[in-house]
Amino acid sequence: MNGVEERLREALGEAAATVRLEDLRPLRAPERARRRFRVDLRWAAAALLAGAAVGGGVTLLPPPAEQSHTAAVQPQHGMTVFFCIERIGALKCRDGAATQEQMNAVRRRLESLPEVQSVTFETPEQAYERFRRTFTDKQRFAKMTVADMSPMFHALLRPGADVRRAQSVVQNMPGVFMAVTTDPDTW
Amino acid sequence: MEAELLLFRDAPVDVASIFAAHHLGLVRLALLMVGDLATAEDVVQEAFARTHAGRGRLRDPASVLAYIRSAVLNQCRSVLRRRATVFRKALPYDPPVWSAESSVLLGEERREVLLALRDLPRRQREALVLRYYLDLSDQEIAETMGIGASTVRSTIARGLAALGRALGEKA
Repeated sequence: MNGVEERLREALGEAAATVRLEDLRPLRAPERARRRFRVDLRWAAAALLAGAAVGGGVTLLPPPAEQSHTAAVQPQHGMTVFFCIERIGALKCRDGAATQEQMNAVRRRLESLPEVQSVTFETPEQAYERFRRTFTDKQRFAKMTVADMSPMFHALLRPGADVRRAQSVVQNMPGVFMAVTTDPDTW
Repeated sequence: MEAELLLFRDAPVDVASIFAAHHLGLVRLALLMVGDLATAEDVVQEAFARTHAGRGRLRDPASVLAYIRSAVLNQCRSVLRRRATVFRKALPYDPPVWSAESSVLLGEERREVLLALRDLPRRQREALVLRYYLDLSDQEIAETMGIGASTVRSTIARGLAALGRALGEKA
């Protein structure tokens, strides 16, 4: 071993030896990625809620009998706009919960869209009640509480409306977590 | 350490036990790469979490330690990259292990070597630490760094030469 190797070995050894076992913080057992799980859960829950809005208690779409035969040609869809809440953990919601002003702006925008026939607001408490009624048998959502629910708008879209356009208009507005439609093509 | 927290019964390879057994050595390795103990501990913790998350892919117990060292090295690289970004916007960070304060603990001679080592290209620095701190063979270094054994030999030779020049010695 030449001089450089010897000096290097000694320097590394001494520097490393400044760390002693008793100085170390214990390794923590990895936890489940709660934050990510929360977002995943919410995505799943949101999609389910949006889908369930058709027949789960929210009068989003007319009952089948009221849908004329033209509905087969021009399908009528709904869209649910979920707002940010504090615990959502998504990048889009880094500024925290949506404000009343942001929600009012989204309502005005929705009502101005030619694709939208009507808009209904649902509080987190109402959404939770609907969720609980609809998904009582879903074990993986058993820990969902009312605090996991967003306030949301349900928009009934006109028959044959451009669902994707309506969705794209609102889903990037401030305070919006996401907009989910009942049209599978937009999922 | 609470051993029961670190037992993963469904793990094909007991990553937790291997980390527990090599905790000190891994933190020391990280320290030599990133320079300060707090960051080194974070590096090993993160490597542990990532290795544990991917433990299903670990099937060969013989290669697990090399894999874990790779994970630690990768985390060290991430830290150093982040610091390089910060350097462009802020005052240079002076890690304790090669800082002026450490000369009290290590002596000026050791500090001089560590400073020269820090200034080497990343691959040379890693190869030299794996060889002269961990005493790994060419093949083990190759597995840890993800390069060929012949590249390890040439990298170490170039690193020693550069280090010798920096220290005013003939390698």
